[in-house]
Amino acid sequence: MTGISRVTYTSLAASSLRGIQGNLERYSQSQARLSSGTTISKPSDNPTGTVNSMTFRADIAKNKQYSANGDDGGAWLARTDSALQDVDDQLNTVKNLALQGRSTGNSDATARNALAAQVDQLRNGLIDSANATYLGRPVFGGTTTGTIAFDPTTGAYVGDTGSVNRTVGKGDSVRVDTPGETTFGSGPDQLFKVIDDISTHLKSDPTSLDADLARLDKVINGVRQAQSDVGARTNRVEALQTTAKARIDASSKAQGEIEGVDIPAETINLSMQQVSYQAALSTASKVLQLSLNNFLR
Amino acid sequence: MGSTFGGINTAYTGLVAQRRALEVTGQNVANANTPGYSRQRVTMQSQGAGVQPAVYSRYEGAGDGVAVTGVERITDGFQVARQQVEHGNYSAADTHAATLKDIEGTFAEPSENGIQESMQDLYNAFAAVGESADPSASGPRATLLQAAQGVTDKLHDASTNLDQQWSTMRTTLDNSVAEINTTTQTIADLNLAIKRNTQAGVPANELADRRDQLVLKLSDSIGAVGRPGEDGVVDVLVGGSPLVSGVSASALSVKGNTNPNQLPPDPPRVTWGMDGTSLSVTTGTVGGLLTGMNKTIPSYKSSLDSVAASLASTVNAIHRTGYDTDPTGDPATGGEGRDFFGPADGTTTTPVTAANITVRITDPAKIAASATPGGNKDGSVMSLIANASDAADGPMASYKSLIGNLGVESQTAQTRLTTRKDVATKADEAVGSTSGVDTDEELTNLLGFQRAYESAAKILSTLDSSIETIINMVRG
Repeated sequence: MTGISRVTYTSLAASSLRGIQGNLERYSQSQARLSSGTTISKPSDNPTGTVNSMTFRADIAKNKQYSANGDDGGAWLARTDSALQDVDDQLNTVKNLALQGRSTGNSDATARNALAAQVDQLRNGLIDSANATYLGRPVFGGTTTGTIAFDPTTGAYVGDTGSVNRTVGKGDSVRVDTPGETTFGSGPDQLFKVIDDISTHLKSDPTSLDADLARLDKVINGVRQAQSDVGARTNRVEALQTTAKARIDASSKAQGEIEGVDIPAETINLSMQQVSYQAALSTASKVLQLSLNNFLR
Repeated sequence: MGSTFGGINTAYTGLVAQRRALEVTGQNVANANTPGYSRQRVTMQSQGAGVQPAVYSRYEGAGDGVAVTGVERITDGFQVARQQVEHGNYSAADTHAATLKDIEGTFAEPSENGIQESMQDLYNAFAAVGESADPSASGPRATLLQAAQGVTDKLHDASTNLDQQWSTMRTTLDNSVAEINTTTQTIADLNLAIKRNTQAGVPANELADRRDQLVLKLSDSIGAVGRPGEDGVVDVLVGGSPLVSGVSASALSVKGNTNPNQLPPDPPRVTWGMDGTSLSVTTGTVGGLLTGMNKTIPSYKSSLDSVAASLASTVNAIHRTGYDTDPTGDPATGGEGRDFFGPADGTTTTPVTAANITVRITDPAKIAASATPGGNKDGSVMSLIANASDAADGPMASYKSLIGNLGVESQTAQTRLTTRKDVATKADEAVGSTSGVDTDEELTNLLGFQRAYESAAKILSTLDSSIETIINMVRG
């Protein structure tokens, strides 16, 4: 078909109606975006945006979990840190008592017995510290189901060697328990073994205290090492938590940018759609008034 | 020399012809808004000397007036054919886009209510058990089982929705084909009436309009095209085969399974009623429905099934390496991890699908959180499952790619639909521009015919008064 096609009143009416409906549809789409606050209500609205939005949603949820894991891990480590500090303090006191006992030597058994009694008291405190718990779980007991890591009577380790880890970032797992056997020594150099020996030797064999002091220094060393290790792990958890929180913020922002409506821009768009809808209406009403009928007598 | 009264007859033919033209104008105006009406035009022919040459007599008259030779229906076969083809394409695109939009509705992404969110909740619940102060505590474990139930519910829902969508389409197909059969029969009947009228020399324009409207309806529903035949009849073809041949119609029927889960070897299809052979339908609503039922929905169902299968296999694989809270620590009696998810029938051989995926663990204590036997408080297996959530080939990734594909396919279908709609509208307009009634034009014609009628009457009265003059002379 070439040239100007024949225009009829009906086709004019039909095309006017089409124009009006098209305008109204765009008007309502803009209105829907504004009232829902989202530009993506189904995948076809923006396929790439949908997939990105889903990725960000998952990312936000994961990082919230990482952050919660970090909270728990941080609390474990804080509890461990204070217990280790207590142990350290008490061990220093034990060391002083042992040194006193050694210098008193064989001269004063009564004084040494008094020292031994103090050591025995400190042993109770040390048992308490070594059995420090976080939410009912001994922080030095590995993954044991029991509530203690060290037997109060024998001083033997009753925890297990399992480790408790917290995932604080993608691929970042931080150990939050502190192994009791590594920290407080094992075999003859185990903390409570040493304490018991000091107590016994204070009473009966002060000459052996030199060897005991050397063993005690080993234990103190282990505790201090554990303290610095706990400090390092705390730092790591905190840093990863900061990262997780930053990821939550960044992903929320990105998701908002993908899905969210630019309200000022959309409001202007809405006004524009309104104007063109009105224009279509008014054009239709003018055009459709025209008919030869109006000009014939 | 013509007869004295010849002019009277000439004027009379003018009156008759113009009056007929006025009637047709009236018919056009009356049908200005009738869908499918083609405007009509009176064809007139001036009457002159006889065609036989004569030696001894010569015709010297001005002519014998006018004769109405017919009432023509103004259509353009090419435009009509294009309209039919484009309507078929448009309907198929419309159905396809609607199918995909419905599927999008099923998945409701991106949102807080979709499968993605509940899968994420599940993985977080695994983490919550593994990374809680007490991985053996029943609280977080019960929450985990609830979250797992939540995912399977979502997968079942989506699968059921797709099945329902399929079943609705299957019913629509049955109804469409039943309606097509009625329509083809009506077209055949109309063809018969038109044929008889045409042979008898009676105009059948209105019948032809109705018939062409029905052919266009078949274009919409099954992508049929019309092919003009003898005596004003139209044959209707689908994929080159005649659905209506002159005055006889062939019935169609629907064959194939009504169960969306049993497509092969008996997929839904349209067949010839007579011999049951399949009919190739690619356009029209029926073409769109067949594509939706045999391709689109099965493809998304199978993608969804893969997501469910992948969820089950990846979670099970890690869960099986763990040990539950059995304090005896005996792997033989219950320490061992078992399948976390499985098919509803409880076997290990039935493949897991979105419809049958079930949480196998009902007792929170049977969640195998620990990497070592003995019912300790190790939750590392749970953490391993949680950490596997963003594996590149895991269920989250395959679900995301399902949604991505759906978005792209639906968007493409909508764009194509817009184009098809434009093209079909243009084709409608082209037909309308030829066949449509323009009231201004009819009014203009009305004035012309009115003037011509008045003039013919004037001629009659002038002739009458001229003859009167002669008669008065004779009377003297």
